[in-house]
Amino acid sequence: MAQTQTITDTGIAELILLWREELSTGMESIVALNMATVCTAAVASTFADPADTATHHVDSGLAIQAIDTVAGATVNTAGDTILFDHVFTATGTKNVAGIHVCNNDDDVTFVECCFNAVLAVENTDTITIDGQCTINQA
Amino acid sequence: MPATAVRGMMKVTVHADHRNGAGQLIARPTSIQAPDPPQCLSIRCLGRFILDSLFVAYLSSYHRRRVAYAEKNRPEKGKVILERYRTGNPAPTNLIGALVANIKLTCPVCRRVETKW
Repeated sequence: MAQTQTITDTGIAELILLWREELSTGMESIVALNMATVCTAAVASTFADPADTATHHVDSGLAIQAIDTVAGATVNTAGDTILFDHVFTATGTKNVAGIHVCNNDDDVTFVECCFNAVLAVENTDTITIDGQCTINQA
Repeated sequence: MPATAVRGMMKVTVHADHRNGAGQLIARPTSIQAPDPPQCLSIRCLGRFILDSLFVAYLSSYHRRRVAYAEKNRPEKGKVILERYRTGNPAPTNLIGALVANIKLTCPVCRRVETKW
């Protein structure tokens, strides 16, 4: 299975809420996914129900936390891209199948990514995430 | 008829590096682009699409296997493996190369030999 990543349906709904100036928050949090086997990212995944049987890690440096850096960027037209960079530092032995990139309220997942193999992290290991979302107008 | 316009699509890219506490790279998962859909219905277009799909399938399998292999052979435990299995570079660029790379990864002797594809 290849690495899979997608913007979720709930993530798009949160964007629309932002356009409507309804209660919504931007990209702010990240959490590692816990699963012993490879998952497959799905548009229907939600914050409460990640892909397949994955769950959110709740400890060991992999629980939900503020993203280190969120910034705007340009790929095709000015300001069409958001960059997010983060480093998880594990404090225990865990399996990491992927990540969720979430809103500031920690109740909506914008992006789900499932790695192409489960990362077996040990104490002091780091996982560096370097991601971007682009609205490609081409 | 109401006026409508379709503009743009959202694209997400994620890169990840797994390193140990000493900063040594353990494995780097790789994202693979799905093949472009066929642009026509001719035998040639469909054949090209099938070959591209097969290549992507074998390439995906290769990256899944190499990351799993690299994860089992952490550098601080004295496990020496080819750097390409940790970084994913260079990766196979054609169907035959992807097939050979998959076979090599299953063979304990062959996977230690550096080859070009």
